[in-house]
Amino acid sequence: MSSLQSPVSATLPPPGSGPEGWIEADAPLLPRALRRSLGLVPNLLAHRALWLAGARREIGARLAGTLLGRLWPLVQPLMLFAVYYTVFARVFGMDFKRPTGQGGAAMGVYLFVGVAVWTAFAEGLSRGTLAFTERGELIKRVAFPAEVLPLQTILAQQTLMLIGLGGFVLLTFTTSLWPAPGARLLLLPVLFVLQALFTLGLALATATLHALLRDTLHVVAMLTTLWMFATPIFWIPSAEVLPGVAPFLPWLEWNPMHAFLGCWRQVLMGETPAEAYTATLGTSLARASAWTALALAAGSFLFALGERRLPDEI
Amino acid sequence: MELALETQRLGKCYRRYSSAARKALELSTFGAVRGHQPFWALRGVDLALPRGAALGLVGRNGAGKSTLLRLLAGCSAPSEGRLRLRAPVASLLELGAGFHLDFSGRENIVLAGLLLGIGAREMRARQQEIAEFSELGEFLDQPVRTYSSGMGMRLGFAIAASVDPSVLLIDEVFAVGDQAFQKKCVDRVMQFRKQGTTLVLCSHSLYDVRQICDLAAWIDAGRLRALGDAAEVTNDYSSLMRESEQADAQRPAAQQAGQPRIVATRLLDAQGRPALEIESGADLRIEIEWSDPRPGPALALGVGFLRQDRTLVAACGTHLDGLRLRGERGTAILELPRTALLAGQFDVMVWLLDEHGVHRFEEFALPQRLTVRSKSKELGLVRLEHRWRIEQDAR
Repeated sequence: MSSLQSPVSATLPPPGSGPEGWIEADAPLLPRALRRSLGLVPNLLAHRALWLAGARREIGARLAGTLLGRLWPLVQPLMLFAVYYTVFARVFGMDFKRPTGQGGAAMGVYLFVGVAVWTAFAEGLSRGTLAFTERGELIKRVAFPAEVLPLQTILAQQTLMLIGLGGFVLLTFTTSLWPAPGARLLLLPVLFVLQALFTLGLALATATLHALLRDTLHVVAMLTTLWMFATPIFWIPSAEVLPGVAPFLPWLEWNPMHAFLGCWRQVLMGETPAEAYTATLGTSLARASAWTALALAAGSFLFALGERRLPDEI
Repeated sequence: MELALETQRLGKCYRRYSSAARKALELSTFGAVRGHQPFWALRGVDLALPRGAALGLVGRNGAGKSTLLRLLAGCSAPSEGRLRLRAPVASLLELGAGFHLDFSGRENIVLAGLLLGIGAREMRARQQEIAEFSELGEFLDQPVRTYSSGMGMRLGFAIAASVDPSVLLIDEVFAVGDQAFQKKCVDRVMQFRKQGTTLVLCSHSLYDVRQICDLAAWIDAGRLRALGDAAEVTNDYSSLMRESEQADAQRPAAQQAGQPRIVATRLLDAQGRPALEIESGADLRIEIEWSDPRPGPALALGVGFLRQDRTLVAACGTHLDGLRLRGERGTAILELPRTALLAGQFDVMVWLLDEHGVHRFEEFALPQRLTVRSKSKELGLVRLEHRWRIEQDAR
């Protein structure tokens, strides 16, 4: 991918400038990083035009030059649905214990939502990890808030996911495949923002570490794979359905993505099948929010600590 | 006095690690174990520029000029000292080094504006101005990947020219592009100066620094070696460069690798004294010593007079007059009787060329500027030989 780069830059106000506009070399590190990380989200809001345009551009760049163009984000999830449904539900015969009354589509829909949400998260995290190093030239030459770079990548990824999920919602309204989600759909924007911020928090940390030490991407890729298996994407977090998983369930519930998947599924699929959930929508939402706050606080603090070294390291 | 730019013992240190393990050790102990070698690219720089000042940065490659510009632009954090600039700051660092190649010039204008903190709507409003300045015409709707480097440069400068910065930072932008556009850029920069924009310019062309700036800073090995009047500092710098070049030239190895070059130049008046200031119509004499360590095809010399805005007032060349320079070294003497230049300040340029006057071996601006005084009230750059005749209509 070609690098976005402009020869023009401005400081508005200079990033990291203290009282009276001085940019200090020896400003105390911890208070400065704390101030910066607390101001990260307001700063992002102030620069929303920048990352909105950036996300649009990334989506555009990924679909540019394709025959199907905007249909691709729909085609891929449909194919995934077909594959997962055939392999897991039909071939392996995995299904929920109780009949769900949805003509056997339950397992397919369950898998589909899980994979779509997880892919957006994992892709957003791995691309976000590279966000600083891939745009090194830009960071070196232009003074702008670098945190917009992982954010726009994550937003692009999640938008593509949303198109796929939107296709599913459309199916529920037009066919009898699955009951339509109803008023809970109003929670979609909330989930979208929560997951974007959660991923951003992690990506800010990994992208900063990756700029300092290039081993980070490998570690992230490895841990993401482990994380995928610890997340109920292909399996059902129910002692009834999977007795083997029962002893680990209390631990597995500490997985933030467990809470996120619970939210997405309960918003899109409703409460059935009940075995799919270990917590109510409210509890899952509360857990996801707590994880988001934690990830964002830790990630932006680490980013703020390393931010000044970025242009020298990439 | 209102300052537009201020630095106090500003310094930049880069960390050099001999291995990734040392770096990992330093990072994981939060710097308690030091694994890097410090390298100071810049140190102890104190600057204070009033509003509307123009500072030229001169120095060898790697002296720290670009590091200083990047610190001022805010895209690199200082390791020592502090700095303060009057917002908004616009910078042209490595002009045209790349846009988003898949997107059109117009889209890149909006994107560049967003990075500057200027909204998309406002940037679209400025598009017309940018389109006109860049002279890109229909290319503005084509992807930037189809542009020549000169076109990218034009777009970059046009975008920067469309914003109204308090401080404008420029890194080597006049080195590229065709003459006509270069002149346009210089004109625009001069216009910025008139509007009170503070300017910091980094250039290898001492000529540009003298033309555009009133102050110059000579940076040598990361230190501020001299700071003051642009003409004085650039003269000091160029005479030192000349000395060190001559020292190089005396070494046989350097001589072997040597290209033809200008060894010394003298600008003299009718009495043979250095001419810094002459009367319009006085005689002028320019002596140019050249050397050609490996005499090959003949050489040619050109001499030109330029006005401050880079307009070439007049130029002559040995090749145009059917003369050739041969041999290892020699002196060319150019006599200019009754110089027709009118009052003003002129830069004297000397070019050492191949025998056809195509390839430039060296382009050299005489360190001192020629000031011409004039008693007549005639206007313009040169006095035309003229005669009047009045014919009265007999009614």
